[in-house]
Amino acid sequence: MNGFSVAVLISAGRHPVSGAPRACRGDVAAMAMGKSLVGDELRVIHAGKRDEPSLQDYMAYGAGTIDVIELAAESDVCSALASSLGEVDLILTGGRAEQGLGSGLLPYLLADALRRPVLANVIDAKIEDGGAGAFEARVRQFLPKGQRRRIAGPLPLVIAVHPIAASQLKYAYARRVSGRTEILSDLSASNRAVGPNWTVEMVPRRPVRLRAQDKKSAHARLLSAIVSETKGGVVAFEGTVVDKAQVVLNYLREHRLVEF
Amino acid sequence: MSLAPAVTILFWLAVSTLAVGLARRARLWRVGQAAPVEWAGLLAVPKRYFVDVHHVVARDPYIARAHVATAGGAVLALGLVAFNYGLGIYLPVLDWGIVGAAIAMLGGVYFVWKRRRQPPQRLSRGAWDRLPYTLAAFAIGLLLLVGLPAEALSAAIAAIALVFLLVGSAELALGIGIGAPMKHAVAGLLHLAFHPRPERFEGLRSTALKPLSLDRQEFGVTIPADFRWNQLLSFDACVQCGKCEQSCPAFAAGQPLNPKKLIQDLVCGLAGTTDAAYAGRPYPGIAIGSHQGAPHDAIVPKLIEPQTLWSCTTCRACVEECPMLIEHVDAIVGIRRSLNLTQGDVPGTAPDILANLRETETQGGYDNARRYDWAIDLDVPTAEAGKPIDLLLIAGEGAFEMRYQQTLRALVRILKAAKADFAVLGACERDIGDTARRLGDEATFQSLARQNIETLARLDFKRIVTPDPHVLHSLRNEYSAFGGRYEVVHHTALIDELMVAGKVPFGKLPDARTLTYHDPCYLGRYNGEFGAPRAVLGRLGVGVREMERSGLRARCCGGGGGAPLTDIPGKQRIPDMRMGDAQAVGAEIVAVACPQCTAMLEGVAGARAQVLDIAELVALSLEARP
Repeated sequence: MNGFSVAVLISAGRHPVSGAPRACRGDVAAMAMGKSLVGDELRVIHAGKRDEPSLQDYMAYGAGTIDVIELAAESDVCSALASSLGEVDLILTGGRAEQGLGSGLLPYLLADALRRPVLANVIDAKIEDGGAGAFEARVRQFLPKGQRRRIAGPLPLVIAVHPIAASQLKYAYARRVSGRTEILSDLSASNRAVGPNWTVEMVPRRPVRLRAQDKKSAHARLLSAIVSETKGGVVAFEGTVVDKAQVVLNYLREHRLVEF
Repeated sequence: MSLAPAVTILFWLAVSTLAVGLARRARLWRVGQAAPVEWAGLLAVPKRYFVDVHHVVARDPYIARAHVATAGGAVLALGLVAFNYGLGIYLPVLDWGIVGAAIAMLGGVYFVWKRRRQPPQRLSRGAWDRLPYTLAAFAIGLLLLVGLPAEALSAAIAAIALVFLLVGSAELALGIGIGAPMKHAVAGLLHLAFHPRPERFEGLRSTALKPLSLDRQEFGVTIPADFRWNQLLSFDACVQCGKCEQSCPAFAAGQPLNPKKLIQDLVCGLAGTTDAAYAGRPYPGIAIGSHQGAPHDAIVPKLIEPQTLWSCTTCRACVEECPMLIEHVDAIVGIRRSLNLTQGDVPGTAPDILANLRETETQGGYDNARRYDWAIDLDVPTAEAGKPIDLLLIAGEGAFEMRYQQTLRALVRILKAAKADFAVLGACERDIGDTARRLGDEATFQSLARQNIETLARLDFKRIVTPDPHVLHSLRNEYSAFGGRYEVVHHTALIDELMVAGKVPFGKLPDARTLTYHDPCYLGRYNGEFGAPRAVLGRLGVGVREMERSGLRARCCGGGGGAPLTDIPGKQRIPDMRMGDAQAVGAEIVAVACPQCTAMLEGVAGARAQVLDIAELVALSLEARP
């Protein structure tokens, strides 16, 4: 028995290409971190529909029993979670959801509602016993350009796990069918969130810029990164429109950007 | 004083020893799961032995003849002894028959002994080296006791002969019960009678991968007792000849798999022993003596390491070579199922591919709607409900791969030139599930199979054509267990058919380079199609220079069974070895007929033969026509 409690929040994941329900990859990383901290004592919590199809994927990854805080579609997830999780010392979440707004704000809003600090982009974590019932989380945090830093903070905390955090969890069909859900009632009194009045539209596909293959040696590439130099090429002022088009076509063919 | 009663006593002693031993052995087999038993199989044993087994054994004529003499002599001698001495008839005429049989046996044993002087590396030593001596002792003892007149036998010679006969009888009667080499005789014959895949004797193409009942928590083979009893019996039939290890591509590549050792380890699991007595070559890189098992202990990792199971390409070369007709591949997939379904313990990139299959129904995580992007300018019709067509083209996963798209485009050009009435499956095509099934993910396979069957039921077509032998095998042989029965043709067979009907305006191949043909395992060994690809190449005016291992005994490209995904390290790569085979016969073109083979052989680095699909070669000849 640990002296502290840990819960992981899991969301309804969707595959970016097919839209099929699946375990949100970031949340699986968070669940893996929770499992490594407290093993099977980890509480796995989902706020949303009780028959959410993606929950079975989490069971396959070893969630065991999932506590579902049942919410209507337009409810405020954050206040429902805050009223249920007040007693939990460490709350783990993924970086952002794979559907809905996916703003990545939930860990911050939740931490704000519970009046506790949040550590974001965490890659790994361990909990140290400071004595007298005080625990401290020591974490490694992801920073851009390959940088990492170690920081620490006392529990209670909210930790948002970075998706590149190592996940040792394995998908097993037998666990998928043996897992269960348990329904918790929503404790927050008035739960009617007014969602932002947004309209959703498809992202237009951006044209891909063709780029000629760099045939320079590694040494030359290194030099060109340090020393600015002219990129070369031809400036076609002379001739008709057809001649100029031919210059462009020759360039494209030379660099194998078109095949005709 | 006549020694005949001594022979009678010895005979009945041996028979009762054998009965006790056999009962003990049978108790081990019966630990396994129930399997449908066809008692008629017992009647079929002679045919299966003299036709099906002989067909395999005769590939090695030396030992085949030696075995005919030894086993034939022994069976005849034992039969006559049973009649003449067992029943106490003591007819002197029959003694001459026994003498003749014993001499034949002695002759056979001599040749076995001679080869054992310098045996090929694939043969196991140990107890098997003892066999020529004990069998010779049996034959000589019988010869002396029965052949010599009683008055010519001095007491000393009689005693020696009795000891010889006792030693030989012990090998035969006692050996079977304690699991010594001679158990192969009884287990082998029973295995022929109760074979796990009896349809193979009818020439039917199948695998014995019975669909798991997932609702009833059937998750494959975790412990030896999870095998069906006739599978356990089949492992006991192994004679450790090592034909399987000689043909195994993973073994040759130095990956930690040796089919012979695998079967022997399963025998250890069945009998509850260690592999210390095993006297053959080990799994490459894994020492002998480290494995032990019991019928109710988990197979992985104490009996067999997981990397051994994940090295298999499911090419079935071992199954094809096995003179005892053991089905190694089905056993391996059975254990893989348990690893996959209960623990999700699959190495390499295979878990990602399986996740893609669950979530996108493609292996690469692609958008299904883009599966036929390569045909966008070819004006290919898409199959629709209520619109009858002759041929339904199923491209498979190769449709997402740029190299293989060239083959698919060539195939479509041929079909158009032949004015075939065809359509593609389009965006509603899902992965057929072969890779998932070989990797042990029966849940995903069944889900894909059910959805595909539903999709196909809505369409109106006469036949399915596919360039992917893995798709072909699943649709033709494995979907039937789920209610999907289709006539499926491979593209090479269809091209052959269209050529015969005069519908393809093909010409001579303009390329005069030397060409060889690489048989895909799932088209050749799995489905017995060797003729059509060669016939097509012949019509193009190119001679196929066959590689040393081709046709039924072709070497795998390394691409089957999810092996490129689990990617177990070895000393060399299987496709490199196969390309070496092609280079050894001086081939400058390797003709292929499978997207996996294409990808694996195209992945061979350095100067090598060009890899071209048969469809591409035919399309080349179309263009070369005046």
